[in-house]
Amino acid sequence: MIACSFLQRAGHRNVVNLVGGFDAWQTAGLGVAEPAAVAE
Amino acid sequence: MPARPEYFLQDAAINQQGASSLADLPQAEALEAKAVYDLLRAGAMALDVRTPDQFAAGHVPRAINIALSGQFASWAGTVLGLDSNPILIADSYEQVKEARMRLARVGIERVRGYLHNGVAGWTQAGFQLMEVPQMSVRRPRRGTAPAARGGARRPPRTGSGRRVTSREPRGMRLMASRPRFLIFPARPRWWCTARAATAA
Repeated sequence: MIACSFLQRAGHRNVVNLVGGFDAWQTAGLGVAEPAAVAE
Repeated sequence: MPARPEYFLQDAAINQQGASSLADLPQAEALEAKAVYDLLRAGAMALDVRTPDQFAAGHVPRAINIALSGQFASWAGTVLGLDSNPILIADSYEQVKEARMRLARVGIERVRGYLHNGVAGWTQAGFQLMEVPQMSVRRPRRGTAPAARGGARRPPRTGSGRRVTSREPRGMRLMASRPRFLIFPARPRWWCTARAATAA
């Protein structure tokens, strides 16, 4: 929620909180981009 | 081992100079909603110390949420900095006092005050609240961006505040180390996630 509040403070209106955070995303087996892939 | 927070260096300097006693901290000033509104418009920072669920359900626009229930002081020192001089927003004066003390322990000794009567005082003065919609990872099909399958769940409405939501025109990919953001181009929507903090 810290990140969401900073994004809203920066003016972004369409901000959604992913319940459980990044750990929940990984636990659910959903894809994760590694830094090297993002940089390509 | 996690990286050393930037504020540790400033804390070391404060300790060398001799930090003032926590018992000598001045009382936080109660600020009415209009005064807080004016301060926020002038660029002040509001720090909402309620739980993330409460914050999601309705919060003062432009407030930052760092819950007292978590690693409050570490996060505050790391992401706000020691010179942030925040306005506190809490459920009770007891929470204000606790936040004040814990902030001072990491070197955030100055606060502008606190919002009198908290979020209730804000809405009673006629100001609007913002919310943060919630979404579970169970909603999406594998391999698809959850936002593409029907949007986010709104948190329950609480109090008398009205919701304020609108749409952002563009999405983009971005991944930061901490906090971590997952943003999908399928539909314009920001996703916030964060790893558990490891600092004490």
